[in-house]
Amino acid sequence: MSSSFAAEGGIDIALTAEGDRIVDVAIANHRPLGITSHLAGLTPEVAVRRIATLFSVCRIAQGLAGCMAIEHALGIDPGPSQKAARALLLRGETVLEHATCALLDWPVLLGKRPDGFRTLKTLRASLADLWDCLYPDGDWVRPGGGWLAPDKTALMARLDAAEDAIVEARLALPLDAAGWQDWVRSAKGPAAEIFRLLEARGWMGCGASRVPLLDRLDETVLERRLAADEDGAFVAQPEWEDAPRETGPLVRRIADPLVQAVVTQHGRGLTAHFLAQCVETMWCLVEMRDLAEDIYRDRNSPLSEDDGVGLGLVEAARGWLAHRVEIADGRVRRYQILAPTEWNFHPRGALARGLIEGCPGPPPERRAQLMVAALDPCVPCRLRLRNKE
Amino acid sequence: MCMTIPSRVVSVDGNVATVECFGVRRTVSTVLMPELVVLGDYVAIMANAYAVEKVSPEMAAESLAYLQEVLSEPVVMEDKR
Repeated sequence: MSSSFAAEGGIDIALTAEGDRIVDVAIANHRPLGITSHLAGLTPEVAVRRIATLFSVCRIAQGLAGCMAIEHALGIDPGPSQKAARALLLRGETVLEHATCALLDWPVLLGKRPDGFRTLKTLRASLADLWDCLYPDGDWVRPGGGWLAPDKTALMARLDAAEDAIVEARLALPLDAAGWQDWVRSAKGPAAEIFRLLEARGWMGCGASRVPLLDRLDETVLERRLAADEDGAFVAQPEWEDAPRETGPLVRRIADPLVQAVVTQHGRGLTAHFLAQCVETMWCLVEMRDLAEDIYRDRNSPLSEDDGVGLGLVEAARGWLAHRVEIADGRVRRYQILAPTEWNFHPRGALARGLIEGCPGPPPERRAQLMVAALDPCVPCRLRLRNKE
Repeated sequence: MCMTIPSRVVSVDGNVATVECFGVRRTVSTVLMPELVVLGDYVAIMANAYAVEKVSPEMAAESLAYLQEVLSEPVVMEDKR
C-alpha cells in the first residue's frame, strides 16, 4: 500500500467482507515510528524537550515517559511530590483527550457536525497547560523533576473550570448501573446519544474481541524486549507472551462496577469501550483533587553524567506508553518509543479481531468506523472495503 | 499517538485557515485556537483538522529541521501474516 497521509502519518485499514461478515482485516501502519532515531547525540535534557515538542497534543505523557526513562537510566528518584504532580498532569491530559474525542469525533459517528467547540476551548484553557499551576518556571519536563511550587488556589480554579466544562459537555454520567441507564434514556449530548444508538440498534456488544488485556507490564521483560528490537519490529507490532494485547481506558477501568456490569452483559465491545472513556473522565477529575493534596514545594534533583539504560512507563490516555533510553558519555545513544496505537491497531489486535470475531451489528464499514473511534488511534485512519467474490 | 508537525498559516478566512507543511497544504479549523491566527504563524494541528496552539518560529524551525531529516526515510509496517 502506498501512503498519501500528511507527514504525521496514519493507518490504512482494508476490510474484506462476505455479506455482512468481515472475513479479513489488513492493517498498514504509516506512522513515522523511527521518529526518535535522530535523538542520538543529544543530551538527555534536550532530547526529552524535543520529544515533548514533537508530540505536542499528548506532550505530557510523552514528556514524562521520557523524563522517567532518563531518571531510571541515571539512577534518580524524583521523590513523592514530583510523582504526585506528574500523576495529576497525566490525568488532566487524559480528561482532555477523552473529552476531545467525545466532542469532536462522536458527533460525526452520529451523523452530526460537532458543536461543542466553546466547551472544548474552555477545557483546553483549564487543562492543556496545567503545569503552569505547579511549575512556575515551566520546567515540568525536566529529568529529575522541575522546580515545583504549586499555586493551589489557581490549580483548584482550573479543576473547577474543567469539571464545569465536563458537565456542560454532558459527559458527567452517573457511575451506578441504574443511574447510568436512566441517563442514557434521557440525557442530551454526544455521549448519551452514542449509547442510545448502540442500544436501539442492538449493537452494544458489537466489536468485542478475545484479545487478552495488557493489564500489567513487567518492566524488566519489556526493557529486554526493547533492547533486542534492533529492526523496530517489536515497536511496530508488539506482542506480549506471544499474543497481541489490548491497552487503554477499558483495560484500566474494567474493575469499575459500572464498566464491569456492561462487560459482563455485552462483552468488551463498543459500549464497554465508549463507557470506559466516560467513566475514566469522571474518575480522573476525582483523582486529580486527591493528588493535589500530596503536592508540595520541591527542588529538582541534580542530573549525573553517568552512563545507563532506562525505561519510562506511563499510563497515557490511550494506554501504556513506554520510552527507553541508552545514555553514554552524557549523550543519548539510542531512544525508543512504544505507543498504545501499535498494540490496539496490531494486524491481529483488538481492532482486527473485534471486527472479525464480534457480533455483526452495523454494516462492515460503519462497524469499522465505530470500532476505530472506540479504540481511538489518535491518527487519521483510512478505511477501504472489498467484497469477497 | 500522533506527532504534531508545526504548520505555517498561508491564508485565513474566518475560522478556517490554510496551512502548509513540507510543501503540502491543508485546510484546518481555527475554532479551538485560544488566540487570533494571522498569516505566517506556525500552529500545531490536532486530528488532522484543528489548529490548537501557536508554535514559536524558533521552536517550529527546530522541529521542522529535525523532522525533515527523520521523515526523509519513511517506514511502513505492513500486516505480516
